[in-house]
Amino acid sequence: MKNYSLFFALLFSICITAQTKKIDPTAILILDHMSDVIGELESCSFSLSSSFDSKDPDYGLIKKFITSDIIFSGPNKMLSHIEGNNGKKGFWYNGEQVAYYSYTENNYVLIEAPENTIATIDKLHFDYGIQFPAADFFYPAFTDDLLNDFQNIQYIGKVAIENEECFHIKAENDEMIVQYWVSNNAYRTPKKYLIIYKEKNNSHYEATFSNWQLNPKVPESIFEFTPPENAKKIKILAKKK
Amino acid sequence: MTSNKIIKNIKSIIFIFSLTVVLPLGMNAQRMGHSASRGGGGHSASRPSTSRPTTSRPSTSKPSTRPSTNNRSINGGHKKTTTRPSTRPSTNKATTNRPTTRPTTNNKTTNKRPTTNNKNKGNKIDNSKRNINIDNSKNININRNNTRVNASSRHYTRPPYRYGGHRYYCHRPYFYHPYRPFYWGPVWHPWGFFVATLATTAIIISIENQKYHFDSGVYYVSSDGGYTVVQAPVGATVKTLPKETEKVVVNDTTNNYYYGGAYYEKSDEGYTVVPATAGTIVPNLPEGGEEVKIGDITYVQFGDTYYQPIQVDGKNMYEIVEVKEDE
Repeated sequence: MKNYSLFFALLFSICITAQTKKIDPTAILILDHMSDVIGELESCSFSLSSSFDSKDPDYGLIKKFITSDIIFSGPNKMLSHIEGNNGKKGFWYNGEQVAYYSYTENNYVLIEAPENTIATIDKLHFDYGIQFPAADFFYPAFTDDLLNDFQNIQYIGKVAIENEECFHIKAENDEMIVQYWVSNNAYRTPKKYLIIYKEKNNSHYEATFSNWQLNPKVPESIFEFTPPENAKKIKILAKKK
Repeated sequence: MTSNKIIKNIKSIIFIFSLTVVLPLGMNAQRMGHSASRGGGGHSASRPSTSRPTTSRPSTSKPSTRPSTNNRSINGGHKKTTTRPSTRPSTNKATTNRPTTRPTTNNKTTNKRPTTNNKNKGNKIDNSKRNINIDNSKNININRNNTRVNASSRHYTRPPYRYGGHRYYCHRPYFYHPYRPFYWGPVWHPWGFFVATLATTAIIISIENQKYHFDSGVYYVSSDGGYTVVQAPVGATVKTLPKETEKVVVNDTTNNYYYGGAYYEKSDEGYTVVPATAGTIVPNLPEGGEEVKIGDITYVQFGDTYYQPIQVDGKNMYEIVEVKEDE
């Protein structure tokens, strides 16, 4: 009898959770279109301008800004430059290793990398805490993941961002609200997104895309890192597993 | 159906349920929640625990409706593994059928945590116990806990830098300047340095059955028919220190004397080598350290001692870091 109770309790919780999801097919259609295009790209480049709330030990809550320029080419090439409060950094991924160079400190580390870009982004994040703004959009199962992780996904309507018409989509779960603005053009490129962290005093992370180039011709050599003069090779500590 | 059979069936259902719910959580740990992509220090490694719907996901796998054919795709192609809602839903019927078509593991492979992580290749740091970076060619291996750090007695007003399950405490903010080993003059030698003979002024000190030769602020041990410079052994007491020795503040009531990377406490007998104390600020570091990037900060590491580059009144200096493990 005890076993039956457990079974029905599980079944009940499954039904309850399933019923409380609100998924708008229009939103999914737009996001799928966006991910379809990204998945068909052989190369792309874009700039990203982001800002986020940060608790500074000296000044309390302040807004910080980051600008990034990112190039993807094929399944295993990436070049990323990120500049913000922690200085300017560059990441060269050539399919075998990542060179992580700090322009600010003129030092670099070399990290053995997996065979594709997404796995490499994951590795850098999990092993070294390195973050790549907007990487989520490039995960192949972007929409599926959204469907899995958010209880509500809604299409809100059209809105103009920087003179460009965009589809406005909102996703929400217990921890955060994410809003996406996807360009209403043939390619459905992401234009902007905003994350509100409910559990972190509603702090914001916001990022805007610009300078999209789809399938540009990118020379392979740009993904090879050549240490600048006097740059020092140092070690990097992996996070505890 | 016997009751045993029923119980067996229920157990199977529960097992499948646990697989389909728990397994994807683990595999999916690096994404959605956007942790890899949020950018911005404030959110680092703060992936929310995904409150994934607890809908059951049977293990029957169905191939993706759009096979990926583009081998040059930047991400292997968009993977759609679930049935999309076909009509604009009313509030409660949206995706009840969606998860039933999602394969349990397919198409997740590109996002799995790489299996190469345990190789410990490349330039990951070996965190195992090790002594200082003494020139190993001299085969001197004396560990006197010289790189152990005593906790600071002063309260830290700044929050620690958190990384990889550790908290790195400092009183002053990080200010990077490149590590350039300092030389304390012609009679000073870095660890691992070999000399064939010693000056007649050298004295012998015994600590825990190890004989040291001390001369002009430098400690040697016999090796290969000569003498190799080693770290100052904790507990050794000497009468005098070189004139280049500097007084460094440990806390409101205690000072240390710093020379050649060693810390001394003054007593009636002379100067006794002590472990470094967190929060102590020193102007220079000797040879033997290595710069190591820990998250966004580049420390100088000597064994278990980490020094944070700082700036005091416009002058580049180092503060000894207090490292604590997260509970």
